[in-house]
Amino acid sequence: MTTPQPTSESPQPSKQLDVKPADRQRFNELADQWEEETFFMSRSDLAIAHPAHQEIISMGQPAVPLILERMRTESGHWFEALEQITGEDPVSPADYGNIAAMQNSWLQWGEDHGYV
Amino acid sequence: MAMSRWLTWLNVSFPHLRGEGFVVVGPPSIRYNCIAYSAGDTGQWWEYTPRHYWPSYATRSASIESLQEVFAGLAFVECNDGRFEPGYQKVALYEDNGEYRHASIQMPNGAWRSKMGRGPVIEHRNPESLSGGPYGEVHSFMRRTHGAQGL
Repeated sequence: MTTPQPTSESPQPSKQLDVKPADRQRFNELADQWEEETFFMSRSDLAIAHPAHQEIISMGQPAVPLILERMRTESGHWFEALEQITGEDPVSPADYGNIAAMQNSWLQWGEDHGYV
Repeated sequence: MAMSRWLTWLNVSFPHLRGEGFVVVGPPSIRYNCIAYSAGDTGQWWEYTPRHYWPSYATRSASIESLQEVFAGLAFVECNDGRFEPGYQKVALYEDNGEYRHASIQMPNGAWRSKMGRGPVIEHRNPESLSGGPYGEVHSFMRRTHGAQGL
């Protein structure tokens, strides 16, 4: 498995439109599996070790708009995947643990970078 | 995830629940977990990892001892069992291979409640209702007098 390198490209509009149907389909399969099979886990460090989560991370940048899209549905904790793919953490340390605030920070980051 | 789906998963994942029965008393939420719920906080996800809330007085580690520190700071002290004792509130701490996995809390009527990961809050008959599955086994019990707050 290759670890994607953090992206440093400038903000661009319409990255959402760049998603290939095959990437979307594979992502949805993996995300559904991951969310279901880790649903009752109380520790995110155990959940992110799940193979489906690792495969999503290995998808790299194409997964970012899909993760942000799914984040809006409050389905899971996607912070680790976003951080590993993008190399960024837009969440203020004061908000760590406040899931709603963490999601808002990432969604704002996505908007600023043309992903949502 | 649809309710019918996670209800099925609950019964599959926790074999004792299937026989003993349980009641869903709160909807799924990704915003707080079992540790937070047992500590009386439904606004944060309590976890030892760096990007989550963990009380500053407790060691940031997955060890069961760290989880005991968390509840000790909330005025809980270790006790022998989960039997109902009027005037006391108890928590049950679960572990697998020395690492904490779950916490559940006793209600004033003696029943136990658990926030199931990102899933619902359920009421179950006893702490052992959740043993033998992904939460491992009950490791220890702690209690405090009703109304005590801790640090």
